[in-house]
Amino acid sequence: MKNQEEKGHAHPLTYVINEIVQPLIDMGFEIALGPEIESEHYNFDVLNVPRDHPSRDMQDTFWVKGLKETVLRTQTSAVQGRYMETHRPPFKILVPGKVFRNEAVDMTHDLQFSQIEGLVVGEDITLAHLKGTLNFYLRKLYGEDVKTQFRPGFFPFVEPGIEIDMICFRCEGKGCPTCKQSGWIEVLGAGMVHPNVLEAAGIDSNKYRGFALGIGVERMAMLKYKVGDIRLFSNGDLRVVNQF
Amino acid sequence: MNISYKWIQEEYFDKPLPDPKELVERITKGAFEVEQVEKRDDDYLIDIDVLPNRAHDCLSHRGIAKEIGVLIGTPAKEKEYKKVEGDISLDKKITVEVEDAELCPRYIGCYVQNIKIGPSPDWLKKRMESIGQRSINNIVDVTNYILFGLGQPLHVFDADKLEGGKIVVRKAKKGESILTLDEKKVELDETMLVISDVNSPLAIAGVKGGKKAEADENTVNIVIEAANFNPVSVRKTAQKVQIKTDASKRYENGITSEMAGWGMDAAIELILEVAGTKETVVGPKKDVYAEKEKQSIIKISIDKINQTLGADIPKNKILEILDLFGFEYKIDDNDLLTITAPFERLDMSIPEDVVEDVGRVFGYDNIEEKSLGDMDFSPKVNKEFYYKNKLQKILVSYGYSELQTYMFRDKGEVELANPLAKDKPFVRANIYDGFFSSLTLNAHNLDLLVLDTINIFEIGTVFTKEKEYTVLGIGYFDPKKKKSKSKEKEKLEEVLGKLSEELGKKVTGDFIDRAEGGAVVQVDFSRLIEELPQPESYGDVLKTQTKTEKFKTISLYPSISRDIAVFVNSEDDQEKLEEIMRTNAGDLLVTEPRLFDEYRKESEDGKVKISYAYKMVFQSYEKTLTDVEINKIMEKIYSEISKNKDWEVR
Repeated sequence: MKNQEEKGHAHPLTYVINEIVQPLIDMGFEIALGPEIESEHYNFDVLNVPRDHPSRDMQDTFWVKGLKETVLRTQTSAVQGRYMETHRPPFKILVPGKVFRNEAVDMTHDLQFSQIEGLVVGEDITLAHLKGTLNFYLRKLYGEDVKTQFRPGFFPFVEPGIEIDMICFRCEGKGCPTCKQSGWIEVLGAGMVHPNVLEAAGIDSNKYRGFALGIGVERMAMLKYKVGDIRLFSNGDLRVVNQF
Repeated sequence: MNISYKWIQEEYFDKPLPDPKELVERITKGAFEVEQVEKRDDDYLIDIDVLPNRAHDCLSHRGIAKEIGVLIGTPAKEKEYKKVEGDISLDKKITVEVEDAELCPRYIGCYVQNIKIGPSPDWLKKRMESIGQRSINNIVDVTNYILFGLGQPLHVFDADKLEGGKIVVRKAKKGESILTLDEKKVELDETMLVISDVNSPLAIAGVKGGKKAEADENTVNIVIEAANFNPVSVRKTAQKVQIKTDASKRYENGITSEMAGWGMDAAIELILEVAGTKETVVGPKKDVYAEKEKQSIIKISIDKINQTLGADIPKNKILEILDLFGFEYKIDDNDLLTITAPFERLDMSIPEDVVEDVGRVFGYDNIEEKSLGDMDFSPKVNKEFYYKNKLQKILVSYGYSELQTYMFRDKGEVELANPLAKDKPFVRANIYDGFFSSLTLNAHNLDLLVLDTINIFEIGTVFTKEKEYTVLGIGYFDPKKKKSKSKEKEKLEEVLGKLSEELGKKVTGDFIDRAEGGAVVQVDFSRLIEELPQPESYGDVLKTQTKTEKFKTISLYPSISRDIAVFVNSEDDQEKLEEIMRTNAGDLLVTEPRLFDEYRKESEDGKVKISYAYKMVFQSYEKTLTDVEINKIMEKIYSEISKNKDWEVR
């Protein structure tokens, strides 16, 4: 029939992931991947998250039954340690993938979601480079006039740690329930790689510095396409996918 | 952490603070996220989300005031509490014994005679109310005031209920239990630290007080406890007994042992002020502090601060920031700083911690961005990522739509120890179980989707006992046809054939179908790509683009479909017919009228007529539509159609 469609549709997250990684691959980044069932060693220990420390509470973790110290990875940062064990700096990598959190599900939180981890290690990497890289791709994704703010954050594997907000898509900065009246929505976390993380991988932290950044892909997609509920991405509904 | 604006203003700053809105903005930009601001009478309650690394010192008004002082450029003033020596005549009233200095690095007990428990003075009541705490009595309020003010948890025992005049900080004995202040019986074990007298536990150390030595309205002699406990031990105990308190929260994050001393001085001074009588006598402080805490010393050069930030902050500006923090420091001829961190800043241990403090106060927004320069690094193409995207592109072009579905299932081989939903404790061992649910779900919405068949795929991870690997699942369902006639397997084989052709390698998989219709093929993607060549570049596989700018919310209400078939005079009338349907259907029409049948008919007089059959789908965002409503719309369309000469609704 003449108005029956013949082409299928890629998932909106595929568009967003590719839109983020393509320009960075053009900038010389390498894609690295890792397993979704991960040891606590890579998911926490080498990322400077001490055992029995409250910071492990920050990420409600799913543990695998019957396997010692094995979790569904809570962050794509888990690939950092794996990569650094087998590669020497300088390098710049991107790690797209699924992560899992055992937390109450609502419009902005889901049990599984996607992240893209970025990691750059070299001899004179600075926080200014982190800013430059982040702004570069945020502009690619949202246009030249994208508005962001950088503020202090805490992630055990970086120091200093930074959180990056974008103007709220719903109220455009005026304040609304979606952004808890602040006018801003947190879109990603980043920071300068903690020396302990480099040292754990056998990299001399006096010689090398790095930055890491973690992008919440669903957040990005929600902002870009104004999707009100994160769960729409994983419920297998073509009424969502076929809009893209 | 709930902070009272007025508390901060009155106790820490002489000059007026910026107004709450401005202050919140400065805190957000320079220190912590603010969850909420609530106006309360002549005060503001500010809920601050203290970052985990600052939970050592900022879960208190003092800590937050110091941060604010740095951010507004006026250091917070500190109240000095008197150091009371204590009356030696009361020396024998209590002794303190700490059995495990690792679990309790410091314990100060102080006996105070003849106090009067009663209501708190107004100022103290107001402080409590300002942060949403109920005023209980002068003694409890003082301990809470110091907890939320300085960040030091305190406890007060009734000295006369304490057996043997002795406080023993020890591990609980097997089989021991305690009745807590809220009258719950808690079983203890040998891993837990307790505060005990010569016979039985008085409190679970750092977590919760017990009923045994509770101070009540008849209490006249007390023992004040100001202590520090091992964070891991408190955390484990609190988790085991499932009691979380404001005290345990602070201990488990780790606080400086020095604060116990400050807290005790504050407690003595305030208890004398609000509960003292003419007969009140303070005994000597029994301070068991095996090893005095050391301040951490950090060496970092001005250059290293700037090199890490990629900024060019002048030396005097950096020193000014360090002064605002109240850091003690020395600087040598090579601009190497030696900084002594304040006791309470347990987060400070490495040079990068100083970089952070300088950076955030200078303002990350004030650091100019730089692009990454050239690097001696040759990135490789990731084979898995490449082929995932290549297959996705092929399948989309072949009419299949991509899903990314939940891993959590009711069946599987790998089970979670702590699933969120009890009915889905497994991670998937295959992709098809989930795919059949998706086929059914989407088959319900065929009209809304403007589709005849459901064609889906997903490339995702599955987990078996042996391994984790990636599979490609392709699903096909023709809900309008009987299963025997829908040729599901042929359709899926066709897709595999297409993939084989594009990849130059035979792609095979396992077919699974179900009685109600619908079939899925699962391909071992991990194994497939092992046999495919390593790509040299990503080419255009990542170049995916959608024109969609804004997502259209999905209505929660059911849709109603109507078919309409009309005879018109020629092909030229089709556009007009569609226009009539579109304009008269109004906002409730969710998809374009969809042509599903067309044929020509020649009547006996030689006149040609064409029949067009359309499907129209209606749906509301606000309610379930009724047939009556839709009939009205259809009547309107029929009537518009009948206005055209020789047109005929079939």
